Amino acid sequence: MVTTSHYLILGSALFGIGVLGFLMKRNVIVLLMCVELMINGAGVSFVALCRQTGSLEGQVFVLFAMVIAAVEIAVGLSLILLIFRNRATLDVDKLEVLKW
Amino acid sequence: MDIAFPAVNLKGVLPQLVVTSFAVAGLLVDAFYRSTRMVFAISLLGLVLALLLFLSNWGKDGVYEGALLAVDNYTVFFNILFLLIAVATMLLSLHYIDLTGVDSGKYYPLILFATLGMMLLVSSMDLLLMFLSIELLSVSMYILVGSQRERWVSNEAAMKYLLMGAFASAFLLFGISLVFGATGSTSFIKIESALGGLAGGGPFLIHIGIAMMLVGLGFKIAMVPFHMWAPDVYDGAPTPITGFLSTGSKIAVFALILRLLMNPFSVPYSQWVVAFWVFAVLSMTLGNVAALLQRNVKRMLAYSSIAHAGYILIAVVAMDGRAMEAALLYMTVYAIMGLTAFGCIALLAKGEEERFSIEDYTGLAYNYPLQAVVLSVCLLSLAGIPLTAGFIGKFYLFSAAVKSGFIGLAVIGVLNSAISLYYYLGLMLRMYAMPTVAVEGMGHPLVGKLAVALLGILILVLGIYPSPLLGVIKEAVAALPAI
Repeated sequence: MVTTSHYLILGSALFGIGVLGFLMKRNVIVLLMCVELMINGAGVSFVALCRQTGSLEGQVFVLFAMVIAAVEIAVGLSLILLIFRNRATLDVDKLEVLKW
Repeated sequence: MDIAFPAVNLKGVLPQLVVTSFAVAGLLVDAFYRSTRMVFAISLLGLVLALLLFLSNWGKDGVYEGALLAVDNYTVFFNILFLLIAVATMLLSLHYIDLTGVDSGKYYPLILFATLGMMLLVSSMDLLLMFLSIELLSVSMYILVGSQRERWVSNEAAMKYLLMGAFASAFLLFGISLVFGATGSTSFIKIESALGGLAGGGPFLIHIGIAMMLVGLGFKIAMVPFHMWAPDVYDGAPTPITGFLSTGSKIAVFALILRLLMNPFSVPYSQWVVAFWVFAVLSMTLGNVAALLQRNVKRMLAYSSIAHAGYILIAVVAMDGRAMEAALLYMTVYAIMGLTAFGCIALLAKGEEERFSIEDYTGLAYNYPLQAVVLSVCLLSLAGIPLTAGFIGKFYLFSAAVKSGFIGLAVIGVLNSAISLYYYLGLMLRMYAMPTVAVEGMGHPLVGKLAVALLGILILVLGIYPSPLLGVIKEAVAALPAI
């Protein structure tokens, strides 16, 4: 029997993998993918909790969250393009002019 | 399932609609005519119109129950503040962005969109609108920070800001989903009534939810330990945008946090006071100590803005009517000081080159008397010297903390002000020292000079005669439910 808890664990796992990936990976595009994973983990938990509480608000929220994720990726990719054009690198460790 | 179409009250959201339509109009004008001056005029007109509409909304109470957003004195107060911040940012940008190669046709409309995000953020009465307006604000800011496309630091700052901002937003979203799961609703009013009946501050789930939301919101206000992005982004962004970012977006999220803690989360908040105490102390101390060590003026002010977020957090800890008033006062004062400081730095730029290093400021007062005087007043106010607005703000903040019994916090705050005195006065004295190398003067536009001069006068006026502002703030706080 698959219960709400199972879905919540799935959502948290997706979120956790995203967090770990974000902290460990160095490529900017992979970082954006990790953020996407985190947002979708939140989405899974939203839908699961929605089924449990029986209100529609959560599902509407997921639709909006998907749009927001797309917007962030769009701006992110255009910035990546700009950075690649100026420095020909996608490594976050090379973003080092501004530091402490 | 029946979905009732809500009654739409357009009068309440008219100012927001005006800002939206003028921003879109600005983008269209840019697309068809490519006239920067026209885009500037349209954007400014939109802001001023919205400002007038809000002024007419003052004093008329009305929370739209069951609706997404509230219109009351609290939101109107902040909306007016954001519009004024946006106007000041535009005036300070006018000359700066022409010099530094920004695509100005999109720049001004984006300021309007970011302002719209702030305006909706303080007005939101639903987690959905809250999330959307935070994102509207953040995404506009990412683009504004990166708007100097040819400058590497601007690219780098925008990329860092976007990565950290998106990371924080994901935390916020996950937190919202847990709060939704625990209460069954995203509406502030329904969340409050669902939490009201629970003993012991609510179920475990809600606390994890609040913790994750706090991570997300903490990033946006750059409180320690979620501050790492701030110095880099503030340093790399175009200077007027740094001012906009450090005042507008920070204040908007703070106003939201105050409303969240007052309204839906008042019950679980009792268990979070200690956490906020720690955040406040860490932000003040780390911000000030790190600012001491900086040789770059923009980074110094960035760290000092982290410290100022810590001061405002004192009010979040104390959290009673008096502390709320102190918080609103401090935010208003901080908005003026932040805009003035970064505005002066923008006006000290020499052509495309900005003066970043603290050594560049030696003897500047002899070539730029106006900017130096205004920046000095602003630095004194940031340090909290009497007769300036910063003193009044800190005085109310610390006395609110003492009266609520957080004496330790007030003492740490005062000690931190003393630390900050060192680097603020250091920069000020440096400007009046004899120049070691000849400083070439450079003409700056009248509009920008007038704007900073006005802001500087405002700092002094509020420092000597704050009672009108205090009266307005009392009315704004009175609109919130009593604590």
